Amino acid sequence: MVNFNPPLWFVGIDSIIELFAMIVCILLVLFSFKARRYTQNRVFTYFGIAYGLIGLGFFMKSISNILINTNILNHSNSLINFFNYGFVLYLFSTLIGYLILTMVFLKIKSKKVVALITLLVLYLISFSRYYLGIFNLLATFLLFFICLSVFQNHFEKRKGSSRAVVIGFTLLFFSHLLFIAYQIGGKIIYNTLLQPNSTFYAISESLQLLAYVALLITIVRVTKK
Amino acid sequence: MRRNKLEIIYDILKAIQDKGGKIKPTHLLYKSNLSHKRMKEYLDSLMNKKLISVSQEKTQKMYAITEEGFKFLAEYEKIREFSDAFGL
Repeated sequence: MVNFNPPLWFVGIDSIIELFAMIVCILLVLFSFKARRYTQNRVFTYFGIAYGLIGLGFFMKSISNILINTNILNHSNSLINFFNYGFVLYLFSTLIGYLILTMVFLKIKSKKVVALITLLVLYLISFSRYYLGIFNLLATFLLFFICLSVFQNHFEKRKGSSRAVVIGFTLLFFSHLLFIAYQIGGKIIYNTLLQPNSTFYAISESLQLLAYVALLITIVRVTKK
Repeated sequence: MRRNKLEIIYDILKAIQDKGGKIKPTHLLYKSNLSHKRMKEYLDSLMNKKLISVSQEKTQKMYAITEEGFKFLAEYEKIREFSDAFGL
C-alpha cells in the first residue's frame, strides 16, 4: 500500500486543500475554454486539458484520502485498492498535466519531441521502484522549466497577475522539491530512500495551498478587469 | 508584427470605442491600418455578428459599436490579461 503518512492533526486538512486546489483548477479550465472559444487559439485548449488532468488528480487523491481516513468499510481490501488506484491516478494525471503545461509554456511544437518526453516520463514513473520519489523528481524537473518561463514572462510584462503566477509556480516547485530533499537526505544518511515523513507532507501540502491561492488571485484579477 | 484576425477585430472595435462609440469610415480606415477592401470585409463580418451597426448621419455613414461589441471587447481584454499573466 502507498505509504503517505500525514500527521494526525493534518488528517482531513489535506483533503480540504486538495479540494480547494481542484476548484482552482476547474476555474482555470473554464476560463481556458472560454478563451479558446473567443480566440480559436489551440494553446488555451492544451492549457485547459492540463489543468483538467491536474484537477482530476487532486479529486482522486482527496476522495481516496477521505475514504481511508474516515474508516469507511473498515479498511476493507476494496477500499485500500481504491486508495491505491486513486493515488496512482493522481500521480499519472498530475505528471501528464505538468507535462502538457511544460509543452505549452516552452512552446514545444514538435510532435516527436512531445512523444519522446511523454514516453520517457511514463516509463520512469511506471517502472521505478521508488515511484513516489520519481514522481516528485519529474514534477520538480518540469516545474523548474515552467518557473523559468513564467519568470521570463513576468520580467517582460511586469504585471501584478504575472507576479502571482510566478509566486504560484515557484511555491509548487518548492512543495515537490521538499519531498526530494527529504528522500535524498535519507539516501545519504541512511543509505535508503525514505518515504516522506508527516512534517514534510504537511509543509508540502501547505505550500501547495499557498500556490493555488496565488493562482486564484490571478483568476480574480483577470476576471475583475 | 502581423496581427491575427482576432487582433484586427479587437483593433477595429477599440478604435470605435475610443471615438466614443461612433466613427466615420475614413477615420476607421486610418485607425485600423487596413486596405479599403480588407476593412470592408471585416466590417461586413462584424455587422453579421451584430458587433457593430451602421447608420446614416446627414451625408456621412457612421459605424457604431453595439452592446454585443462592448461585451466582446470586455471579454477579449480579460483573455488578453489572462494570456499575459501566464505568458501563453
